[in-house]
Amino acid sequence: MGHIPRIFTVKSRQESTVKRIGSSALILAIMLAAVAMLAACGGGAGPAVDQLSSVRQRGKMVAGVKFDSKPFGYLDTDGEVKGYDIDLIRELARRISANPDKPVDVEFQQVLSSTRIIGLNLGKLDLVAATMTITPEREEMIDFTDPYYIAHQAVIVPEKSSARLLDDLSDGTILYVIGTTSEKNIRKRLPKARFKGFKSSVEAFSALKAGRGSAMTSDDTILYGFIGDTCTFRMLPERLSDEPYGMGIRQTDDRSTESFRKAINKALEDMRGDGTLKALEEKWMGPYRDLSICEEPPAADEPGDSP
Amino acid sequence: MEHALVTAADFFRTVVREDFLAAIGMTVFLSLVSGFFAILAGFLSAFMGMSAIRPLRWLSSVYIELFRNTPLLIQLYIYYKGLQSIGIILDPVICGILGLSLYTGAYLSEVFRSGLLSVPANQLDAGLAMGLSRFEAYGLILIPQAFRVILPPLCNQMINLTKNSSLVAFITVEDIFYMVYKGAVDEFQPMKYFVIGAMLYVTLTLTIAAVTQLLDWLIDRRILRFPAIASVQEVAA
Repeated sequence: MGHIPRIFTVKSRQESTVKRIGSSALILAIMLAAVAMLAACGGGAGPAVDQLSSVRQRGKMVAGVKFDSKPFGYLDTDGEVKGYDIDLIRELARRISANPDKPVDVEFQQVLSSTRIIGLNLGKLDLVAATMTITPEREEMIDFTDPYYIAHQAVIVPEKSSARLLDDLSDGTILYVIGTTSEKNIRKRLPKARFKGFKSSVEAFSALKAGRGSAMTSDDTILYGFIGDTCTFRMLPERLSDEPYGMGIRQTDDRSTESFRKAINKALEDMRGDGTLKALEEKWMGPYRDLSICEEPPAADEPGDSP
Repeated sequence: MEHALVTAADFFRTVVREDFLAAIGMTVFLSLVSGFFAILAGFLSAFMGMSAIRPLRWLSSVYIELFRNTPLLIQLYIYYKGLQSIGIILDPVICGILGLSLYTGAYLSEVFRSGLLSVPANQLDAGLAMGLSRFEAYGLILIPQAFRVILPPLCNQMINLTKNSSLVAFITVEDIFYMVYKGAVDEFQPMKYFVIGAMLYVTLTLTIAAVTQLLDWLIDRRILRFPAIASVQEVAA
């Protein structure tokens, strides 16, 4: 038993572990560099084909929309995606088609606030209409159509909350959705409050319902959808900003998406002129304009009952 | 298309941002606190597993199998959303500590048990024969010797714990992964932020490995000695 190979002695075991950490750090550095270089080489080389003719030729376009933002884009109980953005895209698809009798088919794909811009740039989507505000930062990444709707950032609180004005929330916990314009505005407006970011508005709202925050901020359009469903929340009167919604289109160096964008803008202008946009707004936002749908029903004042 | 090359300057400029420092602090805090409780849970379960009392052994194996064989993410969602639905609302950070501690503790239980069993049984008998109480025999003889065996797999589990802590971002804890994800989304630069995130986690885990190495080295050189061993030597003398 006296012979133990040197490889099993304590000393050599230790040396090898020290070396292993050193060499693994080196390998890791090389791998990270390789990944970065690969990524630098990849990408680019967008389709040189003009997007408008490609869409017309395919007879189909792929649109990224929200599935969780009633009334702009939501999955209805029948499993179909509906809303303002959906109707808008269908109408646009009809108008940009080369043959008016045969509208371009639309395939709707779900996007989140956090994925809509990356999804567009991956080239999988022709168009994104997902309650997206036109901002200078985003314009560096994608192109926007003209605005088609102007929303406003608002804040909702539970019906039982004591907050009547935004300032009542100055030391509260405000819930927001990651990747939206709402975060910056609310941080500026309530610098002392605490904040919590969620991946989707549904998650943020369910946390508000559970009492994990004192208020939630988002565009009034989206918040109306939540309030309308439950009526146990109310919207504070202050609006923090104007949020002009635009549709996103891929940005390319070769301007192959430019005619597509122009066609969409032309169709939007026509729709504004002939009242289609107004009708859409009436159809989807009309029910919410009258906030009384969320007021408590008047206290039971049946005169006969009182003594 | 984003510039995908992440330079050292990018890395340091991002990491020193106030929100990133807070996020790194959160990951370190979660790892340390959960590590402490995981070791506690692991020890408890390991001793229960070696106990002469049968129900304690059962309890230990039920704990190990239950927590080791279900995804950590599901465990976290049960603490965060599951309990929420039945009216028990826990702070996300508490949910994170609970989830990470119990999950890692189940793995550590096996690590500790095998470490303790690796010390020949007659060592314990010898200690008892010298008149040590069972408690003393464990503390003075068994655990110090088992510690050398336990150290490398313990290091592994601490590294896993640190990496697994990134899952708490799903229950809105603002740790490194949460900030990295948010940065990627807010600035449309996923490659930059996720590579920075990877580098941060590597820094943390390599630190754990280095500390383990140092500990091993110090014990090897007898610079660090278990007070327990010293007192056994006194007893022996």
